[in-house]
Parts: sequence; C-alpha cells; structure tokens
Amino acid sequence: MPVNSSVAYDPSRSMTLDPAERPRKIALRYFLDIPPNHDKEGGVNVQDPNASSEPSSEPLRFRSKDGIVLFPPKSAQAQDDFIAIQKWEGYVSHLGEDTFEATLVCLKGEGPDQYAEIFFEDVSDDDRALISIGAVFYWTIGYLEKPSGQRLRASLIRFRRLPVWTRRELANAEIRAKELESLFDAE
Amino acid sequence: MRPYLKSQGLNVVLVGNFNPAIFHPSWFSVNGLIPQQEADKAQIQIVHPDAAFFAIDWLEVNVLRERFQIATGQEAYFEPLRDLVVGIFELLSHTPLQHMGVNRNFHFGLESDRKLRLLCNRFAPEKNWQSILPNTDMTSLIVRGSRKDELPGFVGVKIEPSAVVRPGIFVEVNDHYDFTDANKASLLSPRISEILTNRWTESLLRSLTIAEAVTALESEDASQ
Repeated sequence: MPVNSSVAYDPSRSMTLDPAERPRKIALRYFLDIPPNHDKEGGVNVQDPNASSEPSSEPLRFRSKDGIVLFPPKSAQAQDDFIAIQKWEGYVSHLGEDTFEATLVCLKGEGPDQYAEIFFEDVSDDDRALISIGAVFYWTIGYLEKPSGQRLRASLIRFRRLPVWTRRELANAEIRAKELESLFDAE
Repeated sequence: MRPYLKSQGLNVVLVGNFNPAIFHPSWFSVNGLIPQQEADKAQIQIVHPDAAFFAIDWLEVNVLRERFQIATGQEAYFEPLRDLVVGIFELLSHTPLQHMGVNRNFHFGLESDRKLRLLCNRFAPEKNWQSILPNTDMTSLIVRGSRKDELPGFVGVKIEPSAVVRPGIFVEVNDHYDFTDANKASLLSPRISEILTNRWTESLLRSLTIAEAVTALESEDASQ
C-alpha cells in the first residue's frame, strides 16, 4: 500500500459526472482508494505502509475509481544510496577566517569525541549561513552508491535547522524577559 | 559469507489530525526547516486539503488528514529527518496526535536462496504447515513485543524476503508510541520532541540490534 503513489488529480473527471449527482466538493478521497487507518486487528497501524520489501506485489493504494492505476513516483529509496561508515554530531566552537572548529561526538562507528577544523567551503551554500558558535551539524562519511552500482567516497555535512523565531515570539520573549528582570530587581 | 547490509531507510509516522494543505515545500523553507534550494527543487505531486505528497532528493513527505509520514532512504539524513519532525510540530504545536511510529528498515543480502529459505524456515517452519498447506513460503511475518521502557506502546518487527537485494531479507522495526492523553494536544508537541530527542539513539540502536539478531539466525543455522 504505497502511500507515496502518485495522485493525478484530474479536475476534468468531475465534469463527467451527472451534475445532479455531482457533490458540491469532490474530496480527493473520492479519487483515492484510501483504506481505513486500522490494521486487521483493529489497532492503528503506525508502521510505514510502504514498509514492504515487495512494494509492487501489493495493490496500489491510490487508484482512480474507474480502475486506472496511477503510476507511482520514484521512491527516495530507489535513488542513490549513501552508505555511512562514520557519523558524528558536531558543535561549532570557533570561527576562523576560512575554517571553523568543532567538537565531534560519534554517532556511528567507534572513537572518542574529537575536534575538527573544517573549511567553510566543505559546507553547502545553503547551510553556510547557519555556521555560528554553538550551531549543531551532522557529518557523515561513507560511500555514495549509484543505481549503477558504482561507489564514490563521499562526505556530507548538514547543519541542524530549527523553526525560525517569529517577530511575535521574539516580542513575547522580550516581554517575559523584562517581567523576570523587574521581578529580580524588586527583590 | 555473512549477511551484509545493502540498504536501509527510516520513517516517522504520526496518526492524528492534520491539515495537509499546509505541507507545501515553501512552508518548510519559509520556516527555516529545509533550505530554499531544496524547496525549489521539490517534486510536488499534490498539495491539497486532503493530501500532500512531495519529495526532495533525500526526503519524502506524505500527509493525509489523519496521517503524517516522513521518510528517508539515506542514513546520513536520519538525524536531519528527526530534526525536521521536531521542527514541524514545534510550529504546529496544537496538532492532535494519538500515535507515533519510528520505523527503521533494513535490506540484508544473503549468500544464497538456500540460506534465505533456511532463515525464513526458522520463523515459519514448513513442517508446521505440511498438514495444512503444501509447499509454503514465508512472504511476510509481523511480530509485536513489549517496550522495555515505561512509555506506552510496543515494538513491532516485520520480516520478509527482500525485493531490493536478492537473495536477501527485509527487516523493519516499528518503534510505536501511544499518546493516551490525546485530549491534551498542547502537551504532545513537547512529548514528541522529548521522545525523538532523548530516545532517538536508543531507538535506532534497538532497531539495528533486532535486525542483526534476525539475520544472525542465518549464521546460527549455517553453523548447525
């Protein structure tokens, strides 16, 4: 039951219905054969519905009511495989001119915490703006295996992204900080 | 030859009440959850009030009104995927949630079809079926067990012959959490964040240990 099957929403299809029978709003669910969100035992299945080694052996989860099977998209797992040999979580501790220093905590592989000096240019353009003291990143080294089977040595650095603070949240935090400040001043 | 890990993936599934229309790549980038470049290159299949499906090179996002699922097939992105879930539900902190599954899957290659058959036979012995159904093959097996921590839920394991690597075995471990106080929706976002942050390493390690234990039965079989 691949959830990631393609859903070709065809608005023209609703026009083929008798206007008298046509619902005001045709829910997408009408076009999709979405099974109830419960397993056979009555419990809720929170497993990945794609989690099968044989996705093609199961009926496609999404099919139009007229029986046209919709083509499933390319799965993320069908793309390049990154085979990690070693993984670290890093914390930026010092910023230099061309490099930054970081403490690395091992997530995969063996070894104690380490220090590393990393060139800014080893970080993707998008993530470079996130480099600051205390910033968290993940560094993985391993092999990138192409669908052809070819393997390339690869290193991947990805900085942690958390939601940006909104102006209102910052204003609220400032108000709260002032409240606390005045509380301590009063004492 | 010992079983070897060919590929693995990870997904987080949440059951609750969602507004799929929100889950557009641009919403992710505007809120600083994914880089702008990734949002620009996202393959959007649909973003609609009933369903949102899109993919970027390391990630698939599938959201229905009652189900949220986010998946990666690349181990290097397991932690970024976790951070993404935490970030999303920090922003959508009042989303009613009932269950969460952290599901890690593995495809292990085996030496031969015979080894695969012997391994499957350990889980679903053919001799037990002989009088019921001739020439049986195990195609899928799901087992549920208790959690070893104090959290409500269970641990599920699915075992199948792999279609990705042949001959091979597929193992998925479902680390399932129930949120029994579903009415207190505002409390659940911090709970998810706490579980994903503090139990993450333990969960991934448990999944790997289970998967390796399953494949180790092949070795035991071979040594007999």
